[in-house]
Amino acid sequence: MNYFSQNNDYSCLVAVSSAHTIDVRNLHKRYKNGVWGNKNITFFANPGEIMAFLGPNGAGKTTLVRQMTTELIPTSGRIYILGNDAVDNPRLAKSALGIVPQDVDLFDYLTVHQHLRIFAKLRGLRGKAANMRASELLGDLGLDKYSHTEIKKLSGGLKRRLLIGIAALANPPIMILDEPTTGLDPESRKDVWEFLKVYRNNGSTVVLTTHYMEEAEELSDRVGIIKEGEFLALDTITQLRSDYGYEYKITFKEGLPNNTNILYGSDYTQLVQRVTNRGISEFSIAQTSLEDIYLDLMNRPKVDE
Amino acid sequence: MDLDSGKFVRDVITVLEMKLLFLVRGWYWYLIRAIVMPLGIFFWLRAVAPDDPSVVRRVLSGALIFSVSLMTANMLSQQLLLDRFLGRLKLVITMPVSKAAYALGILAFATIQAVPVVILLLMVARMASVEFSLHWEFVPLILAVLLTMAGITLIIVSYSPSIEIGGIASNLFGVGLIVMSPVFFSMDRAPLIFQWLGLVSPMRFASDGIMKVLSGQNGIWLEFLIVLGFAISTLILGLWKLRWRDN
Repeated sequence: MNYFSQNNDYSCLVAVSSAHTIDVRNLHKRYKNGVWGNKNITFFANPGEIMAFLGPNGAGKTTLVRQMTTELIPTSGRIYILGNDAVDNPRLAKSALGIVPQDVDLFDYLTVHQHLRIFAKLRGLRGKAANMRASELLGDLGLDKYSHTEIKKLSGGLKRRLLIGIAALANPPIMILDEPTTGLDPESRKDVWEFLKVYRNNGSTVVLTTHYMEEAEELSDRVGIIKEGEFLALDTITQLRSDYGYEYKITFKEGLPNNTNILYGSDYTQLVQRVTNRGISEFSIAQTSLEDIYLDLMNRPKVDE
Repeated sequence: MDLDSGKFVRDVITVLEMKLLFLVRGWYWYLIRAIVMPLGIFFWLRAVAPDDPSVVRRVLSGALIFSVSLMTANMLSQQLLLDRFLGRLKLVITMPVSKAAYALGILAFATIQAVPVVILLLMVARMASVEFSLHWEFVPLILAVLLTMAGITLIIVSYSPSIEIGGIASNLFGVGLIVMSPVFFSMDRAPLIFQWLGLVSPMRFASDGIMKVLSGQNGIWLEFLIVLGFAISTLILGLWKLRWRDN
């Protein structure tokens, strides 16, 4: 399937030369009630990359994404989208972004084709080009047979596919999605993953927030773990394992019945030795998952600098 | 990507197109809803009022303003509230579209809705042998009434905590303003409290202006400028309050 047409020109957006598609510097967001949404967020994203932000509810993932999509104004710090300041020039920044917010809905009285055509026009495509792009995306998204179906008759998975299609209308170099697969069945979730991988493989940057470990593991090139508005970690999963000594985990029972213990380590042999030295002969050893890293980071006490 | 040249105008037209597609389904119901109450009031008041052409024209003037206000308060508030609280406005905001383009598209939608209602009411009045004249000054004045009501609706919707309260508040204000302003009757016949309200109500000035037009008089510029002043103020405030970016 081809998710991209040939006509995309974002040259008007590059005012400052930058290798990064997204550049966030010292971002802070404090709400009017005094609560900190984000603190000291600094990171960048590259072309042809998927970044996933993981964190519990209220961690600050959506706050971060809303600032990147210009919906929320930061308290301080800067956000550059293709080198252009998103805080001062939100419309210019949005023209390079394909956005799928969390709590968004479609117009229930419009059909699938009408959505794509109208939003293509709002994207800047004119008349026939908007129509053509809408028809093209219908095929790419597998929504051909729903072209003239009203939105209220579509399933959640199909609606989500359409939302992603709307975000992808002008082949934006950056896609930002806030929990794109929440509430979807496994098959629909896999469909969304495939779409996002194709965008990434074609050179786009994809940033998403998620609760699902397997989604972050399956999709992301880099993972950011957020807690209380700050990044606890931001790197590839392989590097996170190495940095935090989480390459392997060994699981065994000791002491009270059903008392399961877990030890982490970077050296396979050493880990096995540590357990066998305790007289334990039954254990299982495996490479750590992202969930292990996440849970341990979440449960670590905060160290004030 | 062409952001500036002509895109603003195209965005206004696209938002209008989006809203007109809503109207295409069941447009007759909206027309019926907008015309029934004003027509009912027109015939009822005509039946109880003295058989004086100037009084009947006053009643017609009031019915015109009532129908435009009711249509605007109902339809516009419904669309804006649904857009805002169901997350549809958020979808529009993900596009490189300005707040002003969205608001103008909505206003154009409100204007187009009001046109058949006004025409129908005038046609019915003519068929009911009401004597009145019309000239072009009628158009900008009725437009100013619509824009005033649209601005008020924008403000109410922006402050509303929910769809239900927003709907109630819009209708209450829209209908209330008409009922409590000397619209169906002149200022000198109004109760004292209505006279005080009439001093600051744009609908009273609109009714006076329309009454003059229907009576064949020219020179309604004072009334038009006053109503236009209200329209500009409410629209500016409504646009300012419309949430586009959060702080």
